[in-house]
Amino acid sequence: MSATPELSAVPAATAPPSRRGRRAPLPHPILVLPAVLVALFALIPVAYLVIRAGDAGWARAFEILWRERTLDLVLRSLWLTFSVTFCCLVIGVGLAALVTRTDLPFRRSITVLAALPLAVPSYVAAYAWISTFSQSAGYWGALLVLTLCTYPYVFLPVAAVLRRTDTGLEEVARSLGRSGPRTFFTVTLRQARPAMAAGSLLVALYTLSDFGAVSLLRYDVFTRVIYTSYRASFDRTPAAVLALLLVVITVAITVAESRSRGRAEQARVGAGVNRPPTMATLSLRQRVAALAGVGVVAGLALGFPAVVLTGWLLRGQSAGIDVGRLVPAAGSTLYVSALGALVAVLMALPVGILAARSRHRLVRVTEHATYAGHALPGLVVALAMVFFGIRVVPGIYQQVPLLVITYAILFLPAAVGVVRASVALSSPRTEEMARSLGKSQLGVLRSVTIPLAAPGIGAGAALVMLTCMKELPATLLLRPTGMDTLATRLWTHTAVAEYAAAAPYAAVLVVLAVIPTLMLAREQIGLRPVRGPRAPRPEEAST
Amino acid sequence: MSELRVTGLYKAFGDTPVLRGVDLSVAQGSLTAVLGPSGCGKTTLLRVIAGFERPDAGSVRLGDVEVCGRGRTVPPEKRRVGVVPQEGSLFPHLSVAENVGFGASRRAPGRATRISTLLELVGLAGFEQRRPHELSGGQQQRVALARALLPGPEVVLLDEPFSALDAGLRHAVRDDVRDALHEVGATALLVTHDQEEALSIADEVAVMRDGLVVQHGTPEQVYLEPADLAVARFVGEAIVLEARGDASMASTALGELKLRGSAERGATGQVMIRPEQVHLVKVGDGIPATVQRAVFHGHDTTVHLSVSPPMVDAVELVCRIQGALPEASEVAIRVDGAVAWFPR
Repeated sequence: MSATPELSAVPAATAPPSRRGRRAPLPHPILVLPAVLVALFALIPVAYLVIRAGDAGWARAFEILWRERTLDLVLRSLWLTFSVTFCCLVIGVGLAALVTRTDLPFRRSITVLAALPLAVPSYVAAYAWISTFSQSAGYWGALLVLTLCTYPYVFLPVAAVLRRTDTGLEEVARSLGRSGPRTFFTVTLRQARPAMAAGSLLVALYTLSDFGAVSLLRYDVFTRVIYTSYRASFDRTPAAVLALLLVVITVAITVAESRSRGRAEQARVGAGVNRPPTMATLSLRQRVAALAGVGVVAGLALGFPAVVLTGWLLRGQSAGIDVGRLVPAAGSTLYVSALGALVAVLMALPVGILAARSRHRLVRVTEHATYAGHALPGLVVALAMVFFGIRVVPGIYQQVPLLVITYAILFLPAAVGVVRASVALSSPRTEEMARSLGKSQLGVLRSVTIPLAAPGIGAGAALVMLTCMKELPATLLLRPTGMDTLATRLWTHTAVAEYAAAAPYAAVLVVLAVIPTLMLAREQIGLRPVRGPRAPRPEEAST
Repeated sequence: MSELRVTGLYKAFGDTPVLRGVDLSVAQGSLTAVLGPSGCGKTTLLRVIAGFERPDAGSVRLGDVEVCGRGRTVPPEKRRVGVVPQEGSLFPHLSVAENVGFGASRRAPGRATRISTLLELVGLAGFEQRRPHELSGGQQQRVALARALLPGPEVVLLDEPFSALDAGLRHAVRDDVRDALHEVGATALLVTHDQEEALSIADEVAVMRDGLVVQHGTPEQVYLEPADLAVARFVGEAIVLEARGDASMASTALGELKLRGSAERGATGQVMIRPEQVHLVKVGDGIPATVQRAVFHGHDTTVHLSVSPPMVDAVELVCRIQGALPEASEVAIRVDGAVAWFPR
């Protein structure tokens, strides 16, 4: 019949050309160059700390490290970190289980309430306690204040995971004869383990980095000792050496956490739609006990500071609030924080765009370099920038630019995360479409990537700004002479026991901090319904 | 619109070759479907033509222009190649009209008219101000097609554009897209793993396997005269029988069958019969067969039969019938039309 004219069967593959497939290509230098510069910039604090610590000679550095006082300091800091983390795990996981897996009444309100302590800066909480009970100075006070301020770091991610876990696993475990509580501990919590580890890491880093609370509560852990040693003597080598030691500890903890996460097996086998988890029914007695527990935590973390703050405000009112000082302090806080957020986001742009788009080795290295600040306590960065300022740029030491740059380095990890997540909103596919429709690489950036990312980056910049406003140690060390921010005024007044005078500053700071906390809580727990086909993924918003 | 010609394309990701020397040409104004299982390299082929991937060797010509070849690569924005991706990939921050008009400068004369003409062409007149998330999947695909057509591309590439749609919608959107492409006389290349889609929509079908085009022909050729047995089975259901050739005939367990083409006298090989060629007939009028089981599909019924000719092993085969099932399990069959011949 037909002679199959067009049937063109190809018998064998043509010989493969010698050139092998290339790896991820290096993106446009217009982004790579600034990104590398930013990464180098972010490493300034570590570099200067090493230089400054080594200045006096390594023998002297070892002599400082070898002191018995140093060993005491390390043990004290680690013990506080461990105990705070442990208490946070107990409170955070307990509350998360209550609001996600039981029929406790008022679960939604409790969820918001439980996240709210994040809005209380630790030094404001410390101010509330020390101004009421002078006995709260020392270990127990620090443990109480830091636990109450940081347990939401465990509560939020664990609650989010418990809400989303594969309930199928639990049902299988139950059907295989495991009791409800046993299933919860052996199956459900196992799935939440990465979230618990990540939350614990945040708590541990927060505790080691916290400067305001431990200083006001006069408990000698790393940050307070470094600060006093820096202030008390002209020899700044001990401060630098101890700061370096603290960095080693925080980095070690960070690395340990990411290692443990790498090994966690949390694969979901097979497809299927998640069903909402089944809720455990609480008896009346259990309900009362649970509500009482929630009440105690909320009362200590929120109620107590609120009552104390109101009390001092009222007492201060009779003496008259010093508006002449409050307004300029608020003004300069806004000014330097806005600048800090702007510079942080500008620096984060090239790094974040590249991180969202390219898997080139150089890009990964730059991104990780900018995350270095994540494990660096604010006080340490501030100290390093003091050394850097004095030695390299004395012209701007104790001037606004150096403070702004320090803010930018401190909050660069948060800014990079926001930029990266926002840029990821426009998929590479969408950008390819734009190119096939005639837009150049830069044209795509202008007409697609930036318009899609702009709202997210804007919100991120606002968050960074609010975080800058609460910042204490860097502001204390690097502010221009004579300039005060809300945080430094609260610090100065509290340090000399002028509690009523400190109250207005504390109140303003709490109000400022409530806004990002509510945003964070809504996103993390998914109180806001997902809109549209491509909802932005909530990303860790503050550090 | 111009002719698309791809020669000797080679592309590897790391050490894994994905395209191993692809040759393909699409005549001006025609629609060719690239059909292949997932992982055969068809999407990579499309991305190379669009300019999103650079091949390791080979060339791509659009009309007289070599857009990628020896040392020269035209960037995607200069190629005048329209792309309709799998998920539509509409710009979420732009309205339907802005999406369609994306490929033309805002001040280009007649832009607005062109947008509404194209929206009308794809059946979405009046949707100008909608946002992508307010559209159904099928509507998003239609907008994506209008957007690809607006700059007047040389070639339109469609990457499994219907696979994300549910079955009922798929047919309607598929027909509309084909009509729209014909209306503008587009040279189009459509990538799919759905053989029914490829056969029904395309002027020509190129079957890909392991990074190579193994057959390129009209849908009828690919279906009835497949290049090899693997293509035969991939393109549709196939009954394969051992056979001995004799010029234009072959003798098989089902008797003498007429061949497409011819076989050497006495050569051994296999023949491939499509189920539609097998008909149930009155007992006595054909080869006796036994009904093993029947599967009812609504529009037709698949009957699994077994034929036990004398002296040879039993043969299993299927046929499709419409209407009621034969009541007796003993039936007879007849094979109509010529069958494909694969010599050993």
